[in-house]
Amino acid sequence: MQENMIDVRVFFSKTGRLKYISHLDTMRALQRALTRSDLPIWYTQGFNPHVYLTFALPLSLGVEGWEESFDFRLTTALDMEEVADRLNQVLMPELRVLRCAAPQKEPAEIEKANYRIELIYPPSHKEEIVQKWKEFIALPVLEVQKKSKKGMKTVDLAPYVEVESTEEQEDRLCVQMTLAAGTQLNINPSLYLDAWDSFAGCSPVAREISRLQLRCKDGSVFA
Amino acid sequence: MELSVLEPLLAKVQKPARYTGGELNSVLKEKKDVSLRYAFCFPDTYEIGMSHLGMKILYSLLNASPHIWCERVFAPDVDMERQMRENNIPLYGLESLDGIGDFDMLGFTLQYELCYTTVLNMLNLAGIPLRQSQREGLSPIVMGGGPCACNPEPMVDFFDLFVLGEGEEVILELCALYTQAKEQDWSRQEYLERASQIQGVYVPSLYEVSYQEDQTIRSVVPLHNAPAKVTKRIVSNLDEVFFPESFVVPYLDVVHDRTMLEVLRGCIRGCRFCQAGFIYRPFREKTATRLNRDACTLTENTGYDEISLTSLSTSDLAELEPLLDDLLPWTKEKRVSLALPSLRIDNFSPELLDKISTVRKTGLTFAPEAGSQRMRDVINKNITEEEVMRTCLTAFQAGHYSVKLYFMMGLPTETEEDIKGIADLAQKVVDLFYNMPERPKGKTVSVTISAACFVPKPFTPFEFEPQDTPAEFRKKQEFLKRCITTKKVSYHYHDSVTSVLEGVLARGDRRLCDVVEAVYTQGGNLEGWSEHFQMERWKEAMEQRGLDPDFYTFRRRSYDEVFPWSHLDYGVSRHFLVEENKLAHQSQTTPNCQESCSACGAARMFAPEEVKAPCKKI
Repeated sequence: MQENMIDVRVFFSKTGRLKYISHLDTMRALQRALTRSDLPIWYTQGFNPHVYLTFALPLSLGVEGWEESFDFRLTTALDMEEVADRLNQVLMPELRVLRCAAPQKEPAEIEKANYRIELIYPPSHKEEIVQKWKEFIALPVLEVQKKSKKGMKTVDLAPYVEVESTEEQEDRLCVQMTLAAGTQLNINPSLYLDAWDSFAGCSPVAREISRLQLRCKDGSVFA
Repeated sequence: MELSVLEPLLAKVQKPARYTGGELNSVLKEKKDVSLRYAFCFPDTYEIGMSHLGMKILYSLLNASPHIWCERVFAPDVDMERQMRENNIPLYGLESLDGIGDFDMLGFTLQYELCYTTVLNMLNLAGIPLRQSQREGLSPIVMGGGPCACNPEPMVDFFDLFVLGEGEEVILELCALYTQAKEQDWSRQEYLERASQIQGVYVPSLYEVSYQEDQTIRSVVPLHNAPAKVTKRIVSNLDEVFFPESFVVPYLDVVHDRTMLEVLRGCIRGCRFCQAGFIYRPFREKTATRLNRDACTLTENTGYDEISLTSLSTSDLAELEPLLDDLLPWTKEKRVSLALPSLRIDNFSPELLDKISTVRKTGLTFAPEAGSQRMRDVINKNITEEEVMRTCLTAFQAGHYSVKLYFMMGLPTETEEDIKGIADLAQKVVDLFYNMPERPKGKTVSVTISAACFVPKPFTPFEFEPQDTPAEFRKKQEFLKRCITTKKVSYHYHDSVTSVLEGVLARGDRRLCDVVEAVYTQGGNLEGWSEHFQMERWKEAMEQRGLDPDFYTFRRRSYDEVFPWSHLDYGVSRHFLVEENKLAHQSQTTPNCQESCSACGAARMFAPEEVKAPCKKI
């Protein structure tokens, strides 16, 4: 029997305690939420029908996501606001739907991700750290070891990283930066930050990373 | 405690989500609004404990009372425990993140004997004195329940009280008594003496145990008006018992992650090795209407895509077919699959199999338990070889080509012939597949044998029997391996040394408390996990105290010996167990409760006007 398949893209945030759940855990949680929502969902065919759900780009464990997205399908057209509401009714505060819309771009078009990073240091170190950070972000070349399918390889991160702003706060540095992201090439912020720790000669007391937005080649927001 | 205090630790451990809480349906309350804080402690890791149905039931039940807040506590894994100790973070409840040392009551469920040292480790991590006698003031009251409570003697020094039997009613009674105790400023002793008057509550410190020269028990004497025999509690009308409308849904991958419906309690079959079948008697069932309603509500509130109809023997549920007929239409629509574990070999039909949408066609599991008919008669597993074959054929014809068969070795009166019977039975199942006229092309059969080491347990007809020694087990395991001559049969076996320790603790007395503490002090923790278990520690600790493990396991016990659990009453009578033991030694069977009542004694657990079939009014 032919069913309608209406693609819906859900933009959501994953914050607080939920930054500790993995990508697979998130997928499972969202599948269950879709079941609880009682929306007319489209299921996969075959031997093991389940909720069809696909993500734009996985989020690393420990990283908050402020505007992530996944796609699912409805069998009946519904108002997008209603879909968002019904989902939020069965979700938790730390996993929220921001809005729903028809997908406009392909996930393969994603090339960059915008991050907010907070690095917490003891007050005594701060002056020194701020100085070193300015030097670090100005480096023309930054070679690191990155794991690839064929093993470790040396990669120059500099072309793939853009630090947009650095703000000094009492106990921390707040950095906004854009890194290459997507299915072709993905730079995990930890890679850049681990190199920073080596350069600085010390590790921060804590590191908080939030992915704010996904962007496409032309700089437009992934939608 | 604030989450920010935990976060630096979480960055350094495996699977940090186990320690944060925040799951769907977890219950958050305001501290100022509650007057009783209860910590439900499962002495194993999050992934294991989250599957425990008893915790889910009592969690919902307690939290339904506005003035009680029940939180979940699991054992931290080794890396997190190290971080907690280094940073002075006490064991905390997942809901509030508050240290449980300041709570009013702690409840531990004792699911298996190897968790005992984990219990002590958790008490220590919580900052609570290990020994009951060292605890000052009224709180926290440390209580225990679960299957091992039927002989909790090796742990009595560490617990204020045990709940025997079903907790739904008695736990609320204990909480109400505690509230009264707090208001009227009772001492712990006063509370415990009053609590001992509630049926189902066992306060071990109110009993004095003395021993004979041969090390068996001379007497167990009650003090301060405690009952000479402590009788367990049951819920008479199971169809109306409290059952949760929602479960906490974990984010992490945990075992048995699905909606669990408890369809019945007890068991009619009377297999002589099975403790659960006896200690949960009398048999009581729920109706299809009730179960379907619960299934629907739980699916709505959790979003789980699988429902498990759980019990000791689900295919004995009278209304199973009507239940499946009620469930199938809506579960099919919502793509929710049904799982029926614990299926009997003798009532497994193609129609039943058809209704269970085990969509992934993973293997089916059956439990013949013994390889020869004589041995099956000894253990009263009333299954014939013909029934095993018929069931496997049904499975094959339905497209299930992978079958798992559970057996035990070390059963009373066992001979080499019986062991060989296991291999023979598996071979016959393989031959059955290849002799099928409509055998599917290109498909091969796989039969997996799992043979556990039998541990004699209290309150079974085999509680008098000696256990096989590790050397005997190993010999039989090697022998069974040699008997298997085809690649289509694979054989999984368990380390016999843990089974022997299980045997010591299962039928142990209170002199073993010092041993448990000693092993814990030497680093014993999470011993249910093979990488953490060390038999040497146990042997040494016992030797140092002049105790002999063989006394507890390899000795045949006489029919009139006073056991460490003889002052506890689970319904089934000593007389019945003795008679059953005699029949076992004559390879004779006993009919199941539906066929005819054997007056085991469990019917006494009902109030006289509430006796339910198949039990007969006494």
